[in-house]
Amino acid sequence: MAHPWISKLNEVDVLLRAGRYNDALSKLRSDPNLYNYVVQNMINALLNYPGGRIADLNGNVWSTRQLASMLQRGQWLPVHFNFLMSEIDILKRQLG
Amino acid sequence: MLYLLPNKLGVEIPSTVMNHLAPMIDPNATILFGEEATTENAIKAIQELNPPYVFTTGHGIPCATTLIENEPFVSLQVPQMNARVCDKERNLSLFKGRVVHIHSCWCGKLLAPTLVQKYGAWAVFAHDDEFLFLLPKDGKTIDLPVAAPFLAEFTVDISMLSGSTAGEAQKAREHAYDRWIEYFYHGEGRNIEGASVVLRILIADKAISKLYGDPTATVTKKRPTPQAKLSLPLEVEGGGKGISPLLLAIPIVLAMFKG
Repeated sequence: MAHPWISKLNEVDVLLRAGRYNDALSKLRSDPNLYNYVVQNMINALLNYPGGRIADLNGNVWSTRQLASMLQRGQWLPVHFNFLMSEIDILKRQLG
Repeated sequence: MLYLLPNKLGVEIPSTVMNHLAPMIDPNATILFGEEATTENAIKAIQELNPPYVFTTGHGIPCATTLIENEPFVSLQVPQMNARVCDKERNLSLFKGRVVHIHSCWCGKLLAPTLVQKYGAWAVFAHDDEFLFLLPKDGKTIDLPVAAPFLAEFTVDISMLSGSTAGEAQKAREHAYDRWIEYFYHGEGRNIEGASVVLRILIADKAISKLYGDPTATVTKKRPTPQAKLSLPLEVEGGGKGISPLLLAIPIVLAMFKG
């Protein structure tokens, strides 16, 4: 039997891929345990690379520390949603 | 084939990597690197060489891609999205009958499908969101975690240049991302510093890397896939500080496309 988080993760994933990022975040927040687990994993991954910097092809640059601390404060930049999509992918792999 | 490689304002790393890769995969590569990667030179090269395949990198928003110094290269007229870069249509028929790899953020959202549907591009590889990567910690050394997203992405070019169809190249691209993801997730790369972040970057980049147009498009006859082994680390070639005017467009873009 599939893990109970899987269906919610799939729903969030569909919203993310449709570009409906605010709806995806609302859906994720509707399960506080899942939200906290996912966000904490994102924070841990970013903090695992201290001094790291992430860029996009438009010349935007973010430090891993900056991105992690924003998540800790509940603040979401657009780039966080790219990482959220990845985190959901990883979690779905782990949960089977 | 033609490679347009500006090397300032955030695209130094992909241009450096492709500047080394292109001669390995394409003995007839024409490369406009750095200051040579102007719109005028690009148009001239396309008109004179008539290349079936064009690789271009630069800044991007849904309606445009740019070259050196953020010079608009190909744009739709959508001034409400960006009054400077999308003030008018530019060079939209330049890619008619060609296969193009637009390695810029966001162009898959609007520009790439429009080039295919309205302006006769045969196939376009593009990204429909921000393409992410790690910056070198020392500012200049392109090591494996920094290069990995580009090595995955540029599988498209290796594949097309070995005679694959665009559809096959897209599959090769996705497979390459999967292999790099596995390398940093469970493979030898899992203990490399930065693995946890580049793993997530690779998953995100894979999700936004799409093919538009005819999956049967080809640009050369079938030939053995060229050996393209980059010797890492590389040193970043080029650079230059400055704030992109396109950054001003980001909130507008996000309002339109991010919920």
